[in-house]
Amino acid sequence: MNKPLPLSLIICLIIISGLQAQSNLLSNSPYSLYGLGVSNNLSTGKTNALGNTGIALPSATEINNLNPASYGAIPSKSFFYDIGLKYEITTLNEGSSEEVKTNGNFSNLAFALALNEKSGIGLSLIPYTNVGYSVSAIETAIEGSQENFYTYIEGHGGLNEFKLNYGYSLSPSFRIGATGSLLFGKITEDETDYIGTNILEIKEENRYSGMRLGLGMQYDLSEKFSLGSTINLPASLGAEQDQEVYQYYSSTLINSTTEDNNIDNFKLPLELGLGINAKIRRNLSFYVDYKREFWDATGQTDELGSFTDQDIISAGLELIPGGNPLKYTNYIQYRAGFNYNSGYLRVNEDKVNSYGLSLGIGLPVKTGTASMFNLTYSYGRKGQVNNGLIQENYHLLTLNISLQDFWFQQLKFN
Amino acid sequence: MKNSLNVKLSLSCFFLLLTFISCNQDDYSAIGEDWTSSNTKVMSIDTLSVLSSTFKFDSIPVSGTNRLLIGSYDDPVFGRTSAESYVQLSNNTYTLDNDAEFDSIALILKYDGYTYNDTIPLQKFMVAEVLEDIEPEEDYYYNTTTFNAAENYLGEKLFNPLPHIRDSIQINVNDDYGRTMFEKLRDNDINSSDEFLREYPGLVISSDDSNTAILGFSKESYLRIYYSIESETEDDERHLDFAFNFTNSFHHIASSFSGTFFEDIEDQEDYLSSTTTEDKSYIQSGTGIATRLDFPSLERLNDIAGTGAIIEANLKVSLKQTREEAELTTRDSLQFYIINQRSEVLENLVDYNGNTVYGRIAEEHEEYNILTYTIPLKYYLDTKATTYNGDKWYLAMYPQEFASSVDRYIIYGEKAAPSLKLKLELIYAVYDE
Repeated sequence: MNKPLPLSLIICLIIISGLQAQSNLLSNSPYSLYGLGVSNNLSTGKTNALGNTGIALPSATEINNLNPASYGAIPSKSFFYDIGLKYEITTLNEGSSEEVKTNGNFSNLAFALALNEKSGIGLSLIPYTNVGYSVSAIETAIEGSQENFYTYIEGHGGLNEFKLNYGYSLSPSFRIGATGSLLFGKITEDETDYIGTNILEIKEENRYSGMRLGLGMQYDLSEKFSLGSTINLPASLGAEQDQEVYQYYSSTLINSTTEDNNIDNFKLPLELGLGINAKIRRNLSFYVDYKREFWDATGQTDELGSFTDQDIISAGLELIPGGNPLKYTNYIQYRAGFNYNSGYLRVNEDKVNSYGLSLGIGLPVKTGTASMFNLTYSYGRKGQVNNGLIQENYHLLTLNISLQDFWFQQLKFN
Repeated sequence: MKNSLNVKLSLSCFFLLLTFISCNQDDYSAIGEDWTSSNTKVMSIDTLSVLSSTFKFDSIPVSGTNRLLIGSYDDPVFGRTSAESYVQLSNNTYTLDNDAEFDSIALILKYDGYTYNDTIPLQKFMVAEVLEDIEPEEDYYYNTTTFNAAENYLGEKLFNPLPHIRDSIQINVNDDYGRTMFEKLRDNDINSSDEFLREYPGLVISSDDSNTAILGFSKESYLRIYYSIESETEDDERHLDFAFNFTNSFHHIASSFSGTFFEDIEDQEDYLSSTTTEDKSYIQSGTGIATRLDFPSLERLNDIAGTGAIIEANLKVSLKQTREEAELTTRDSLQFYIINQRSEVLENLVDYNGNTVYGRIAEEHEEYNILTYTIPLKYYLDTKATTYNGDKWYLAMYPQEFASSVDRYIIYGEKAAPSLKLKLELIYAVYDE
């Protein structure tokens, strides 16, 4: 194996993170108005196709970022990396009106390597939340009069999670892991109020940053049955706000102010996860995950509703036909998944829940490695029209380029 | 082999990303507006107090107007107002035919169309000789400026004012006065403008107490001497005109406020709160009576939680008019000075573009005699709030032609009916609760 490989990866990583910072709307969801935006559910490797399950899945053939304990299973002398891309078509439906939005972006960058026979380490950069909304002509009454004013709100940005994972195999069947995340990013919101012939423009840039720690373990009860669990500790993200206010009087800019405001830290809740990975047949695997996020305890509310405990249940199936090892198609992996997410935002009495279905295939890149193109199509729905919320239907295409190399072999010769 | 594959992969992922990112849409969405709300709260506030009072400028400059006011009238509210005009004559003719003979002399006053009060009764004007040089005090003539004049009149005229039918009135002047002036010019006793002004400083045209109107005249009026040159066939009739010197002709306006609200006003630092004058404030052009406006409770805006800004501010001013009063002249706009506690003018009120702020007629119901002006005050309030000593700023409200008319205005105060009361209408936005 040759040395330039990691270099090209690093260049790509830098370019992509640069691009990421420039891109505008990472989401087209009005729901991203709330909290820190819409949580990103996409991860590395094949887990997107398995309904986002993977707490019990070891990182034996690719990076599984859902449980740090999985890094203990990275084969020695292996180097994995994973680039994820996504393209999404969202239909927003408010009952009376419907709109179609599209967007595309990178969904993850990750690499991991085995430190020795028993331990592995990895870094990943994954969007944590996405904010992207633009709402027009919100009509609001001017208090004490018959008149209205009109507001246009546009928000973009989001947080990224830069994660360091470490996994260690205590025994061939028991792995533990720890994860440390650096969460950072900025969310901007521009509000323009048209009040009579005058305009008030408020531009806010909220910057968040903070650390979060987590632990995980995976235990193989047998060759056919594994358990996993994760815990992410509560964290508080420091926040600062720059606010610029522009006042236009009959289209003449008459005043502008810039202020640094203190805003509340954003609290991330305790998260617990449990997962099962079972080999039902020789070529068929079954995954189930359950995650709970304790938002109630953060005591946070948003303009529209309060934050409430969130349950995520997901399941996935994977079929690897096997058979004649000379036939390429026998190496193709077929996957399907489902997940249900209760949501953490309660509007009136209704939670903004969502569910998704996914189908995917894994196409081997080259024999002799575990390198794989993982292609997934997902369809999902968020919110419901019948209780006055916005319903979002999305078609999501993701491609994870998950590659394996054996670079320590090369280093040995140096 | 594998290296090149990975390089290709890296490159392709890069280009793929570029295409993906360019797919992002940035259009405003109509979805979400029903359950997303503005972070800004906008309110209409018309409960902030506007205090009005009446004061009188010690003097107002009357130089620079093209009108001369003459006349007097009695007003039930403002008392007796009288105007007289001092005029300096200019002459350019110092060579007259030795055979020229004086015939008569008359003052021709050209109407400029302005009248105030009742023009139906006969009016009486008198002309007298000014006994001292007409010259300004510190470059200006004020409404209070006067000069000594002879007690005997050179001429009187009782007339029916018909400013819209006739273009002038003619007041015949004493023949002896005219003959002397004519002969001094003819006989070269007066050979220059200086010599002329030394002998004839000017005239004052005043009115009788029986008058019921004040009339406006153009400065293009003149004194005319009619003369003739005898010849063998027939007399050649001619005339010699003495134009009014624009700069040194002005009107003096006086009031007798006895028995009115204004009789105790001593100087411009005295002001009468509308609470003591029947909840009204007053303006009278010419005499310098103006309305002072104060917004004492603006700071209450700071009590509203959050950071806010005045988006729009309009003052509503309504005039009290009876059916008879409605026939008196009102102007279609009001103007403002920013004044201090001593009623000294600090500056003209302008807007954000530096243009003079006018109060424009917003509502006019002839049937109900309602006349309401709207005055945009955003710049004033913003500037007042951010200027040192701005809390000691007041607005002086005065009409157009403040120095060249005697228009009177009676303005409703805060206790009047909702459609008539003096009020400040604010649109206030709070954007940071």
